[in-house]
Amino acid sequence: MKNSNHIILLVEDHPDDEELTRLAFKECKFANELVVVRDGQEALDYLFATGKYSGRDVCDQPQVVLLDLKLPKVDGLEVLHRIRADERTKCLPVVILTSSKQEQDMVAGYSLGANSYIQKPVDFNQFIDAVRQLGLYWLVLNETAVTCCK
Amino acid sequence: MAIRNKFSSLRTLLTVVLLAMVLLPTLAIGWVAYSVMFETIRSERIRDVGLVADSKHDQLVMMLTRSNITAEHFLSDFNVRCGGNTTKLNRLCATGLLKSYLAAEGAIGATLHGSGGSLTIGVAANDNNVRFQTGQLAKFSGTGPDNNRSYFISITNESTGYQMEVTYPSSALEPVFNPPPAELGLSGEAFLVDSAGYFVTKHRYDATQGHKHPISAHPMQSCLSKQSGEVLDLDYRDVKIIHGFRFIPEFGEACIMAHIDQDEAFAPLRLLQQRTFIAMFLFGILLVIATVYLARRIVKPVIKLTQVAHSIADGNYQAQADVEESNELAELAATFNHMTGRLHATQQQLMQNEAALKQLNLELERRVVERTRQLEAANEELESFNYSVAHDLRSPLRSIDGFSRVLSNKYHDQLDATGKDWLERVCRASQRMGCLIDDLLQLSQVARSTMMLEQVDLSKMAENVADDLRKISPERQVRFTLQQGLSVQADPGLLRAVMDNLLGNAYKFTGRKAVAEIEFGTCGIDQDDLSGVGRVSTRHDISMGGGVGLKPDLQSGIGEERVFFVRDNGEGFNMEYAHKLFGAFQRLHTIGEFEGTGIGLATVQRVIQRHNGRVWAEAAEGQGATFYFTLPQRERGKNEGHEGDK
Repeated sequence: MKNSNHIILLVEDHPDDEELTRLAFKECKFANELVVVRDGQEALDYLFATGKYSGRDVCDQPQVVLLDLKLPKVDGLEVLHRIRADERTKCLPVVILTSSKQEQDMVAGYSLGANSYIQKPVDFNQFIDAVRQLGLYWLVLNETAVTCCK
Repeated sequence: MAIRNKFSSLRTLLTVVLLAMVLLPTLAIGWVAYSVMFETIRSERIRDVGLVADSKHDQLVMMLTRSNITAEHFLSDFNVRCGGNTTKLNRLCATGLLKSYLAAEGAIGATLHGSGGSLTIGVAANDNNVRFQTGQLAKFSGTGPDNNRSYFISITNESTGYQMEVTYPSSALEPVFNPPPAELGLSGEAFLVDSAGYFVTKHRYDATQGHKHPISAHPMQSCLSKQSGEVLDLDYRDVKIIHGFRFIPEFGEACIMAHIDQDEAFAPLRLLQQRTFIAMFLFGILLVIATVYLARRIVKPVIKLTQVAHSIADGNYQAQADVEESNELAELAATFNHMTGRLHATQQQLMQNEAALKQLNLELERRVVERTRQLEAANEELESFNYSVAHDLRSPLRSIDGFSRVLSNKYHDQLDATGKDWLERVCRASQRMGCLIDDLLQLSQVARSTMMLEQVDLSKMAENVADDLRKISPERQVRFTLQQGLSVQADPGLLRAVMDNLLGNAYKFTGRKAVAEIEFGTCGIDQDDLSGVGRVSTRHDISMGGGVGLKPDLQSGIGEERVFFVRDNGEGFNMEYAHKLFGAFQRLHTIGEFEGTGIGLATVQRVIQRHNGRVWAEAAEGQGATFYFTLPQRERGKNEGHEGDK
């Protein structure tokens, strides 16, 4: 797996949240490229180089996927399931970043192999803190397995 | 059947009773009538024989009297016709007259005595100068076994002094006794016997007695001893007879014997006997047949009714008793039929009701299924509602807060103080909204989540909560007094929400106190079945209002429960509003005074209720508040016991 370009895949349907996330990243001074997809299907297309992303190198996977759960077309848990079911993406770090702290969502998320679960706080300052810690961990400290994609 | 003990059936009993009731009186009356009739006929027969004897006696006396009178007339005539000289008998004249007299009288001899001498013509009386007793009319010439017997009469004419004896042959008496009188039937006879017991007139049957030696029969002896009467005895032939015997003083000593064979005389009696027995026998048979028939007829409807009753007992409610008579039994049968009809109708009704009930049950079951389905649907809906609330409601808040802050930061220089304040208000409002959503979700979570009961160390939990609270405002002086070693059987997650809210409230509402005092502990064990109920209801009235948090009916049977409390020296509240305390979104203070969503106590109540406990509060404005909650003791006690053993 190549992730030299340090891409972060943000799966987020709401432009406000996208903008706030960008602002938070900017605030934390992360320079990684943020690729945004609007729904679950697009996320899968991107990851598996299908649909409008056909021709993309499948082995060129993002460093981390920030996955919202409530998405149009294919929901976040389904996307996670597909990611974990595929050999090429099963080691991909997926952080669930969503509005809900519902027990059932957390249990389902971790059961399907989410690496982390973060609730987006209403308070923007807290959100910035969360993004900072997230970025520090997944973009700087964490070592990703490279054996997944042949 | 049970009836068949002494008599095999009601029918037999009835037969016997009817028979006895008819037969016994009939037999008694029959016997009385028979015996009266028997006695009447018998005595009549005997009297008849007596009457014959009497009549023969009368005839005999009449005959002798006539002979005497004739002789007297002759003597009166004699003096005139033969010269009237009493001293000198005109023999020629006398002989002529006597001869013609004897011929006319049928006599066999006569002797005439006078002062002028005696004259005998024919057979002379063997006994001269005989003096007859008073009333005696004749006398036998001697006695004994003599076939040619004779008797004589003796007459005296006082005026002329002539006396005469006239001798008759005993055959002159025969017309009186023979032929035998019809009254004595075919076997009867009447005859005359002299004073020694020898036959004078002819007898009907051959006899060894009465000729060579006297008749030895008892009646004969009675008669010869001058008695008269009737007896049943044996006669000279040793045959049973009815005997009528008369002593005849007119003959000096003699007897008239009249008799008839008992066989003939009593033949009607035997006939009566026979006929009576035959009649009784026929009557008896008839009676038996009649009573059996009657008993059958009477019992038949009863048997029918019994059969119908059995039939009904076996479940055939359509059985009808068919009785064709028109008496009380028929009425009973009609009533019975009416009853079975009603029974049948009732049973039909019952069956219909049962069917209706079954239908209703099915309907109910269907409805339960329907409702369950609806409830499940509603639950699902609620679930998705919650999901939606959790995700979608927060999202716009984040935008509001986020962009307000960015605006505040990036365009700091372009905003005046008022603008900044307003943006700050926008942020606070959105954060409060965020808290509200979180609390709502918690409340809904508390109501629906599955309870996992386990041993919970409440003291430790209180300590953890207190630690968390201290971190909020480390500068505050707060004294927590937490009782150690309190543990209960409960769902730890839900109970944590209770402790969070109660201690959190205490912390919050003591915010204005220089030194906050917060206490957690237990009041001990409350026992339902002691003074608990009264006390609880009082408390309830004061603190809970409309039944919030208290379910006495659920409490009963649970037994002991432990009362816990969280006390603070904070603001307290007016008890007047206590009933609003546990309702969702109910607040007794303004946001300006104390923050809060008004959902915390509703959550507390929901959790305690789910644990079958109660919650209430006591407070006074400005003097702090105490929140009580109870938790049932049941399984916890056992577990504690086990732990104690270890």
